[in-house]
Amino acid sequence: MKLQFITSGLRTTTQDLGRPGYTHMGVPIGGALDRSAMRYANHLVGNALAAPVLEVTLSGPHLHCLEAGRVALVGSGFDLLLNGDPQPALLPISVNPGDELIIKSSGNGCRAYLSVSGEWHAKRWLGSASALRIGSHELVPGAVWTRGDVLETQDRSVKPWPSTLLPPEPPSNMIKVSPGPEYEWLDDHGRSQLLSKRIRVIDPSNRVGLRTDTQIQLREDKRRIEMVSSGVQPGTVQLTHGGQAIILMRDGQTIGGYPRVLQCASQSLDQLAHLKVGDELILSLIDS
Amino acid sequence: MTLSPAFKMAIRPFGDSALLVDVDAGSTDASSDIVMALNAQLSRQRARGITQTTPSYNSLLVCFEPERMQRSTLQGEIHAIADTINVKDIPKGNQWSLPACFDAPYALDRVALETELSQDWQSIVDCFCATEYRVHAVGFLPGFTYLGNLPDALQCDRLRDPRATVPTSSIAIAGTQAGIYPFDSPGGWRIIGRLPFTVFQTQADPPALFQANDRIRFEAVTPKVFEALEQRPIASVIKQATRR
Repeated sequence: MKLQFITSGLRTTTQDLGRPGYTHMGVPIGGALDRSAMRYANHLVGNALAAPVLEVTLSGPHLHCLEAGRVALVGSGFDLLLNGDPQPALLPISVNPGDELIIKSSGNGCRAYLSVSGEWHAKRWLGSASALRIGSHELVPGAVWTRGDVLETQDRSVKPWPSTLLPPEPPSNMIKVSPGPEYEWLDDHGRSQLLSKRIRVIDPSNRVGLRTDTQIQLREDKRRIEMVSSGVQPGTVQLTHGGQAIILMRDGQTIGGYPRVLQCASQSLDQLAHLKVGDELILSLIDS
Repeated sequence: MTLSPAFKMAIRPFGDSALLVDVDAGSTDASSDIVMALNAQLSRQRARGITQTTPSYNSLLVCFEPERMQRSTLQGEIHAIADTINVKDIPKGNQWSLPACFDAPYALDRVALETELSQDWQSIVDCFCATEYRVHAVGFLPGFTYLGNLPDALQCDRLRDPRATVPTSSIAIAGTQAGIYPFDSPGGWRIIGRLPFTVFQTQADPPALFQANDRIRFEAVTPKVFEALEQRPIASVIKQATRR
């Protein structure tokens, strides 16, 4: 299949399951923020579940089809238009040369994943095709799509295997968390401000981390401690000196010096992908 | 020879797919030795289900796939490794001597530091270059190199207002640490100089030039030499040697 970008959308990148195994040199695991959506999109078009997909953020691209194939869009907040007509959700869509595909924001979501049938010619770095931006640097420049780019895949004409893979759960703002290494640094008051209540995502929030509007103080005897930098992971909730809770995302830092008060459950990481600035979320403690 | 039997180790769950190992062997260097040895042994055994490990100073983050490995099993394996850990398990690391320029326009915080540390610039640079630094961790950003320990005479606070952009390859100090910025990025550490090459290159193998437990010394060069070195391939500018 061959698709040309007429417009790219706000930020449309190639993402797969990321590059585990390089955190000791500071390289985050990265990859699709919502892995279940990515896998399901691939499943719908008959690709390997771990194949690269396009990750669309806030505003989607406009694509022109040059060679026939199938695509599928999975995520929240976007509609797939084929020659102007809305397509049913969670189904593969056949696309022919000359067709126009638009991934249109419906206003209430943040990220969606477009799978493209066939084998990708994506360049890989450290085993992954995923884009990674560090400050203003694109470490995998070919994984960021701009107007005029052509995405080409080699069709293998594989019909999707019958599968029991279920569509991803609809996005939820209830994020399950367990205590982090410095959870004890919060007293009851701090915990009550952070847990089981609505907190808001504020700017800047991105693939590196979600900032929140919290102002939470540590236990009095822990406020002046300078922590020795130690490992963090996607889903770690850090508390800055100013009391702001930051939830690290998949492109986040690998070690940090702020108290790690909570850790999001793995199953909740996918949900975080759909939270944008202004959205509210609830951190809910589970038994670990 | 078994390592100090006196070290304390605590293994805690950190979410549903990671364990955090904290080590206390009395000093940062001694703890760091244990962490590096643990990390090396864990990597060598390639225990099924471990996805990645992140060593940093006195801690080791071990990420695993709960579908493939039980937390209690991994915990047991780490304890077993710790029980038999040996001095020869500490990775040797490399020894580096790096040319660096500590003059304008690279020493962004020179004036403030001269006042704050009550020393002239030459003695600050001499003091900095007289010390051998240990790489305690590589992380935060890809290739960001944490160095310790900074001589007492050079210890200073972070900037109250971090810079929006610290130039690539800047050498910085803050608290008891020194660091090297792999990319231009915001930063609150005090900038004292710059390296004439980049320490993280996506196309290099491995991309990060330095790794935890390496030892680094800096050698001051003039701006003129610095500019000449910037034009040369990195391999001709620095030599690495395995530590004995």
